[in-house]
Amino acid sequence: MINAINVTKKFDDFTALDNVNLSVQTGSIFGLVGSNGAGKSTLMRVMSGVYSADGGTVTIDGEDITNRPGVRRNLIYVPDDLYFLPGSSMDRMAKLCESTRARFDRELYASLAEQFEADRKKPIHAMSKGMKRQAALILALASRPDILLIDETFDGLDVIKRHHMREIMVDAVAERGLTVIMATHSMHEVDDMCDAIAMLHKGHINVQSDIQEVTAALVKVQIAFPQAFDEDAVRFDGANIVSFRCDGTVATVVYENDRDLVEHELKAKHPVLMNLLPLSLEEVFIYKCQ
Amino acid sequence: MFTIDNLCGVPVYEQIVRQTETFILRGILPPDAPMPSVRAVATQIAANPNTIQKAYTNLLSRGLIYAAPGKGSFVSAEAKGILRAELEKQLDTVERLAAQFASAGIDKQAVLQAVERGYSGKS
Repeated sequence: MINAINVTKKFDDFTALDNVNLSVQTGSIFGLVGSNGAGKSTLMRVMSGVYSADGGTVTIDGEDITNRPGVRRNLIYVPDDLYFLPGSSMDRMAKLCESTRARFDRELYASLAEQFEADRKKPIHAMSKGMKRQAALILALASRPDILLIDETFDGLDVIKRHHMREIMVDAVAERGLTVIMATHSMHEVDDMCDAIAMLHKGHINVQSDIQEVTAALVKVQIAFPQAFDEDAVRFDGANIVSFRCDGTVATVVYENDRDLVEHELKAKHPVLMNLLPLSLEEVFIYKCQ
Repeated sequence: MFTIDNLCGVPVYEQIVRQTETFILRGILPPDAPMPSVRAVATQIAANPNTIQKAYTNLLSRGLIYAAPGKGSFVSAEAKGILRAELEKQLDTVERLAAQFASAGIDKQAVLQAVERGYSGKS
């Protein structure tokens, strides 16, 4: 289990993270989403120990990671701006991994390189963006981490490789309880892979929960009355209207309320049409970050 | 074993639960048949193992499958009976629908024919 507790991080006057609390269970595939500049990468760097927090702590299985590299030894962070030794090939990087990571598995490395048809001898700097990312992911997975933090997970990988990477990751999670935290812009990716997510917006977490709960927190209703109407017509006691869009006599309203409550209250107003529609993760994100 | 429809909007764990129910009812998964491991399913459909686990937990809590420590999960002997009992509870939905049809002036024969078709279509 990895926790960020009241983490604050500033860069001069700019507060990148403001009292951020995050709790990721072992064996979870956790999605970290957020608008550009929300602080996702900063949070990942604090959680992996690359940055020290200005306030708060990060713990792994209850132990504080500050100044204790041993606690982080089975955590691997794959950033969005990848770094490789200048001029190195995958094999050269594998050698480095082997000497710095106790669990690096040569056979697994060779197997993964073969499965992804990676050129182990080619200088990585000469590879395409996607192939570089593939190289980084292979080296990370071959190191058998307990916790994997990945920034923009599959950026640049083609559909087939993406799918294969997912299979391998999912297998590692199922087999040995690998914990994955993936920071991403792609709601589709999160929808496919994650069991829990947190949304970061301007340095704050504004949603954290398991996937089902997140999409259930908001209710979208298509509603119509015989005459033209405004927002007051769809309001009820305790209603929390996040969005109201009306053209003539049909409106789309989004509530941050319990679904049954919304259904019950609106039925009482005798609309001509009423449809409760599911929200995609993307929609929840847009409404929450406005 | 499971085929996931990625376009239909039904969550993966729900699809797994529904498909397992269908397999049990049709005898494709007879009593004491082994369920594929969470890991095998997760890898096969490239889905989050926690999602698969959620489906299995649902099946376990309803008594449709049981877990043998160290050996995996298996279909319960009573699974078919349990599903039948659960479905029987939905008979009042049929009653309510019938009332709605009646008040809309829909001919009772049309409803009965639909029931007939439903019964003859499945084994």
